[in-house]
Amino acid sequence: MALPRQNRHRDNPPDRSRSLTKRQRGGVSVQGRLFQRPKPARTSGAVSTSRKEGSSLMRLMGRLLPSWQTQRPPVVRTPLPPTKKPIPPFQREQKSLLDRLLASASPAHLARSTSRSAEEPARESGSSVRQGQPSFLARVFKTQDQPGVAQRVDVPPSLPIARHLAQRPPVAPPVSREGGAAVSRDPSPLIQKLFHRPTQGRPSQRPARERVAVVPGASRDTPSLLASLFGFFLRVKIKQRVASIRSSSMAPQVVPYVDKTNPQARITFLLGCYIVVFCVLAMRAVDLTIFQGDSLQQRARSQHKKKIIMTANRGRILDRNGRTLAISLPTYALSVDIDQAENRAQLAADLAPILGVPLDEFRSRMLAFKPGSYPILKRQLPPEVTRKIRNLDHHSLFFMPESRRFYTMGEVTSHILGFVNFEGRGREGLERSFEDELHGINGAQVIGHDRLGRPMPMVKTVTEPHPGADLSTTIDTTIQYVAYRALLKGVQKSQAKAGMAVVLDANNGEILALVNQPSYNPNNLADSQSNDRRNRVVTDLFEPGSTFKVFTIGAALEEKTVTPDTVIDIENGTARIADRTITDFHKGVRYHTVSQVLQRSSNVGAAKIGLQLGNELLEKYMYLFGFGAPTGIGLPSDPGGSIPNISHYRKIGLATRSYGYGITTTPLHITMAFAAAINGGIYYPPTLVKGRVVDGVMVPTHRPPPHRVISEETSAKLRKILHSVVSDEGTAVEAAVEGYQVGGKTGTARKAIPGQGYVRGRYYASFVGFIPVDKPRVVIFVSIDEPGGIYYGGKVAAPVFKEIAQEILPRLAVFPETHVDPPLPDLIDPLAPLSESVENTSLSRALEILSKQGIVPQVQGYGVVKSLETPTEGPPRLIMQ
Amino acid sequence: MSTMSDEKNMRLLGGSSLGWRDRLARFPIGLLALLVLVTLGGLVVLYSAVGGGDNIDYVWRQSARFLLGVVLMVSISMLGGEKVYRRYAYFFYGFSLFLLLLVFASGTIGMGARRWLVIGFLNLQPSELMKVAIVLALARYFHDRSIATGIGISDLFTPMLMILVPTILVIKQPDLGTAVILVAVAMVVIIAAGLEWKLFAAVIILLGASMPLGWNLMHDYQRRRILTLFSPEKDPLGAGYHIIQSKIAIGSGGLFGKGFMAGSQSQLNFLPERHTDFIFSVLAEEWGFAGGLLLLTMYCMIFLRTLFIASMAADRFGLLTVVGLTALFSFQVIVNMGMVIGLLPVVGIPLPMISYGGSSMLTLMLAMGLMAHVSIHSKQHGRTI
Repeated sequence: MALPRQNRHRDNPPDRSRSLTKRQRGGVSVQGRLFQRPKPARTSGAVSTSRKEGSSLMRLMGRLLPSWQTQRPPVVRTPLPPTKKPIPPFQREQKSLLDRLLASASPAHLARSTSRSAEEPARESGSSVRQGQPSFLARVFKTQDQPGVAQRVDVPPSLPIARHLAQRPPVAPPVSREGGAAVSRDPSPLIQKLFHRPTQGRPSQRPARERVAVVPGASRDTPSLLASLFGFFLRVKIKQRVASIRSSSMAPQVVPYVDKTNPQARITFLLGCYIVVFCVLAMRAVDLTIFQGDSLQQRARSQHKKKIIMTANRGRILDRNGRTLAISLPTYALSVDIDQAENRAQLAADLAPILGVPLDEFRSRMLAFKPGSYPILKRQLPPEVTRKIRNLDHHSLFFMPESRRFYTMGEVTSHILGFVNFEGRGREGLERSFEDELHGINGAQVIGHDRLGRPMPMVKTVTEPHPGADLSTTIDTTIQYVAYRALLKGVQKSQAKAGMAVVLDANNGEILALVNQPSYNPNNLADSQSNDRRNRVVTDLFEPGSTFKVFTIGAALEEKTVTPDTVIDIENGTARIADRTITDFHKGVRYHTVSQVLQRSSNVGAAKIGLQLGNELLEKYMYLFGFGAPTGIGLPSDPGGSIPNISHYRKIGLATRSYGYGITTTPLHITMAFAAAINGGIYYPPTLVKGRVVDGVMVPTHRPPPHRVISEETSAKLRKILHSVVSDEGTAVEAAVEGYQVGGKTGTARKAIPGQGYVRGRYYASFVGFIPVDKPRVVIFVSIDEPGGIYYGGKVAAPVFKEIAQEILPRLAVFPETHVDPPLPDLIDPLAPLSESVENTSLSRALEILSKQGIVPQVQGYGVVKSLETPTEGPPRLIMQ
Repeated sequence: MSTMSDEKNMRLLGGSSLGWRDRLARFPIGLLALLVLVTLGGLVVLYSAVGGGDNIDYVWRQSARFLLGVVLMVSISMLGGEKVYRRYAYFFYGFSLFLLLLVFASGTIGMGARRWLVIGFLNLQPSELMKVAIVLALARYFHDRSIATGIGISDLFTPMLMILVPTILVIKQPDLGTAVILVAVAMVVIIAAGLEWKLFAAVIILLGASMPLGWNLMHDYQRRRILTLFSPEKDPLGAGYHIIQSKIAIGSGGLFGKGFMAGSQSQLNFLPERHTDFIFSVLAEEWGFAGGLLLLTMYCMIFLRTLFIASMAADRFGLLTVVGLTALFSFQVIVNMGMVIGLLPVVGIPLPMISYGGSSMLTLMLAMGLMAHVSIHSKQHGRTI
């Protein structure tokens, strides 16, 4: 027959089939042509053919083709009966393709009828979907009972071709896009394998022969002449048909469809793409949440969480009687939300007068703020300013709570207490040295805020603030004030550069008052100079001068190298020791007793006593008196002073330090040592802070233990000598306090200016005294720095001492020992003659004169006084004219 | 010889219409269930994204839209006649094109673009309709032309025209995101219809090569968005803000999230557009990676289900329609998630079924209805999953 011959001849040009896939080229010919959706109106004219004719053709063909006839029962052409199972489309395609081929190989009208009948089930669905293979999805969803899946297709026996095909494996149709002729060829075993689909029938049961491509009449075993002829005829017809299809305008409707594109595979491909993309998305999510998770969490937190430090309420500072010296008051800082302030210039104009700042400067500052910022305009606003600003009721302004430190005594206590900075941290004084106790423990609040910075209701307090402890000092407010006032007066009177005063409880080292001049107001730091803020009592080192003689003599008395009555040759006040000359202020006396040395403040005498004592002993007592080491008062700056090594100028060094030169101390050192010298010989370390008051309970601060320096007797001797200093023969007559027995020692030290040595005209005039002499209660130290005129301690510092002592003693319950009648005012004798004539004087003058006699006259008339009448009854009368 | 079921099957294959009972019985209830699940999850996230009880109106409105969408889906899928959508595919396409043109004539301008048509109370976005229409039209086109050996370049002339005209109209609105979706969906339809692989590769290469050209044609803000993708930290408060905040939200959510209504990024206003385009960030922040993955899995299940419908489709039109609409759905998911996690530039594509908004929801339910229709008339029998 024809087709096998074609097969042998290979008259199909190779280049035509090159565009086909291997599968197609190796495939079996002629099968895969499906005229999808043939539209009767558009197909060739032979539409109106009867099915009967088609059937007869089939029968004829059956007869013509013996080999076919043997395989198939005769076709009984009836309208298609309902099939048991749907014929898979692909098989339908093959079947209808065959019908087509047959139709094209036969008269057209016959062909139509055949194809129509065969095509019937597939037509409407227009299916191009290959059903034979289960798709990936089908496998995923495990759908039961799918058509074509593992299902034998039964073809009605009345359809021989269909049945034949149903037994065949589906083979990709070898139709090229050029519409080239089918190539019939034996499929290779590989191709067979490739095209074998297990879902299609039961290939294993089929003989291999049957799987070989078979076309109608293509039985190679029996190529009969008729078959060959028919095949040739068929081939020509196919060519013609294809040509006509290609040339006709109906091409779109009849483009041969081959399921090469395999939609199922494409769906699977798309699914694969989705899965890949989703995996990428998921991987990115893993990257963000797990690998970058921590840092992103951190960013989220920092973005919306703000830790707000809640400042602990700072403790108060109290005086010894519980009066408040320093307290923290709640105040507000004014801030502005720049984003909310639409008209900043106007806002600045509104605020400037209230805040009391220059408008131009304030406005330019206001306009310079960056958007989105919340600058603080002013801190620590007083309540009345806060109220005024609240009255403005501007929505962009808001207040932030702050606390402001307020010092009740202001300038009076400034050097003791110090001050805090705007953050509430102590910068000076007790505020600084007791910062930890006063400050307490800050609390912290974590506040969530939204993008615009508004706090959100997820506030979480991390820790509550723990308020600071109150500090109880040894200061007595009254004494402090008295000392302040007296010193201020003294400094002003003497036109001094500075002044210092300390009031000390002689028997326990507690400091009752400590004042400096100049002072400053810690409530208004801006107006003060840093020089004013120095606590000179504690920090300033100076050569103590004469006051130091007390300790030299005290040491000598204690060591019994001298007695108070030991006579010292003071060589008329000028003595040459080593290569230096020592002079006294008061010259002209050859001999002094030890008492007189102190009383008259003889440098030569002190030097000789010191030389007699020796340096080792003197140094020992200096250290015992607390010199050369920090006092431990508990204020930030506590220099120890220096006791230099004098081994290479031993003699003069010892001589000068015996009367207070060549060593440096602070005023506090002097005061403390002086107290030790007169209180019975016990050195009490200075105490400024009694303790912390925590929750109403006083926790005393640790005090270093006192130590004995000199004996009771020595101390008594010293007291007696020092009492004599204040006597009429002494240097400090002006220190005498009426009604009290006072002891003390003046000091007039030349100031050593660096690079200039001792400068004439620059002195420390000081006085340190105690009251009462027998049983000392207080020690008062007063020092005037660089007094303008008179510079003797007894003249400048002693009156300050006196004023302080006079006022504080009753307060300390120290009552006068000696009764001194206060001077009575002069008696007025109204009958005595007038000191001056009142005639012809002005009224005011006349009244002045008369009032001295205690006369209150009646006045008659106007003008100048004419005469004074003294009637027997009633007051005198001034007659005016 | 024939049984009842055989007859039924034959009727199916023969295209004779199913009775409404059959149609209802064959409705892919599993697909609807998945959609309901995703939407319910979305409503929970939406509730949190809009800040809870005060704005619960958003949730009600979204629920109403979804219910409307379900009605739309069921009614579309129940529409009788297997061929009805195939028949009117071109008409639908033409209608959508007409509306797109109308947008230029009398569209409402919003958010810097002319996208909406106001018809009475309805705010119509023709570009949304066009997404579906182009799928139907292309499916019809390739259904009619069964190209045997793969789609060559010459077969693509008409489809290209069909794609380009609406795409250009959408770009002119300007709505680059939708345009990209349109082209991508159309591409998928063509691939499914049998684009030659060689041609496919060529198209990909061509797309890559034409990128500089596209860059030049872009608006400034579009360029900025793409540049921002690569370096969001350059302008953390400006162009990069969205991406950075979104990344922070997702990353800070960690594995299991911060909990419902506890996402700091979303609850504290840091996340922009958090109930619309960036709702996934809210989900990921509050429910963590696990929540995000769960949603992704549910989406995948929806896609598997619809692609299964595609594989069971009775005809080529059905197959291509479902593949195209699945692509429409999945691309929105991919583009939105890619944007939110900082892999793709910020384009205004909402997250299907989750993002607040009616247009997108109704379009997607329309698509779901079409897919359900294909499913009902598919070859499969037996129970749906």
